[in-house]
Amino acid sequence: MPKRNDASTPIQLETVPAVRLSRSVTTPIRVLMLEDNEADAQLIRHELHRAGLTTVTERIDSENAFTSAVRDFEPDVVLSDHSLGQFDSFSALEILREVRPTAPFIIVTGSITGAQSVASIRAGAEDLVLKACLSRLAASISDALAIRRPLNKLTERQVQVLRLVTQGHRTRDIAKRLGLSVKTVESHRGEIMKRLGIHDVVGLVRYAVRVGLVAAAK
Amino acid sequence: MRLVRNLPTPTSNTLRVLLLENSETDAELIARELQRSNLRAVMERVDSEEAFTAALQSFAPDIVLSDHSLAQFDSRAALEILRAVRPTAPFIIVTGAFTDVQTVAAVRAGAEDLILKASLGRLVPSISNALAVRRPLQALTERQIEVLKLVAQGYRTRDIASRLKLGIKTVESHRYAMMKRLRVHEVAGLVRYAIRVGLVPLEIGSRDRVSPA
Repeated sequence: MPKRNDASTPIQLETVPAVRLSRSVTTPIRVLMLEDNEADAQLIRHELHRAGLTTVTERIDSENAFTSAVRDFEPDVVLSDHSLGQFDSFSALEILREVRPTAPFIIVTGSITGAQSVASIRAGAEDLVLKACLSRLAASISDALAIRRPLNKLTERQVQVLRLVTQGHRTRDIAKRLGLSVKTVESHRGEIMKRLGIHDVVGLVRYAVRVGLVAAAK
Repeated sequence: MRLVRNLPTPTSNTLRVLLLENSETDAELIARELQRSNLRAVMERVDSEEAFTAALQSFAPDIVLSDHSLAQFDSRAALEILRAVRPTAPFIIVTGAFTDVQTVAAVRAGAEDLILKASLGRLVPSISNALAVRRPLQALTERQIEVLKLVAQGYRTRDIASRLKLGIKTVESHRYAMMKRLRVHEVAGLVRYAIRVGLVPLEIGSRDRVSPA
């Protein structure tokens, strides 16, 4: 799990050079841009800078590059254009959920239909920002990170367990899948609830759906 | 298509569409779109909060189509009223224009779909899909739907019993029957289904029992 945005490290609003500084100074937000147009990527970088977000950005424009960057670049947030030749935001979101399930996915696009918008949000996208309204982007990123801040208190293993619990798997199945004992899974469950401050499965599910860890049913 | 229980027999095959719309012209376009389809629909148009609230009882709609904003009233408020009175009826926003922000907020609040008046061809497929997603709910009694909603809001069996003035055993048996009829065998699945059909909103608000610390 990224330790960069843990609960004690609020997003800094002053502008500092976008390099990895020591955590005590500031923590840049790692932004992965799935965008095939460099001019648009420039506008996005400009907007984030103007809004005072400290970021490190990387732009990629293919499925292969996206899949590697999700692992190697370790993004805190993904900004995705809606359609890129052979690849689209739905597939990108699916890949992100498997590899970095807690990272918010924001669609930044020139145009999108109502049907696609609705489907994206149902699939777990955090927000849609039209390129004509980029001034909204920084606030959208900040909100997305804020609502996920409780997740930074969890270990990677606990996020895995949370996902499986909210998908409806029983403790015994989760133990089997992850090669853990039932007792270990039980203690992860207890710890997850404690750290998130959510004390029942219903609450876990609603939170997990809200942050896109699992989709609503069907 | 059999769409809802508890309707008088003669109309039980007819889809009851409540339209919240202040333009008579737009209402006619929507009516024409429904007539062109295979749906057997009756439509009633209202254009104020008062008339909307009254029609939910007197007209008993199976589905609500709502313009996004009307002078004194908007789709968000309409959806809240609908959820309290007829929690299983899908709510589709049919409007001239909406922003990205409004779209996201509407879906998180439990709206089923958003359709631009310029793309009314999407309306009938959207209605059919909305009804298909909710078909499992028709196997439930009104009481079981109430229990499902409270479960998905995070109430425990004991709280549900005292809220509905039922015995704990009765609530337990409703829960059991409801899960069996929905063919969902764990709470996580129930909650995800309740979110999908808008019985509880996706946005976790202050009025909910459950919210992250």
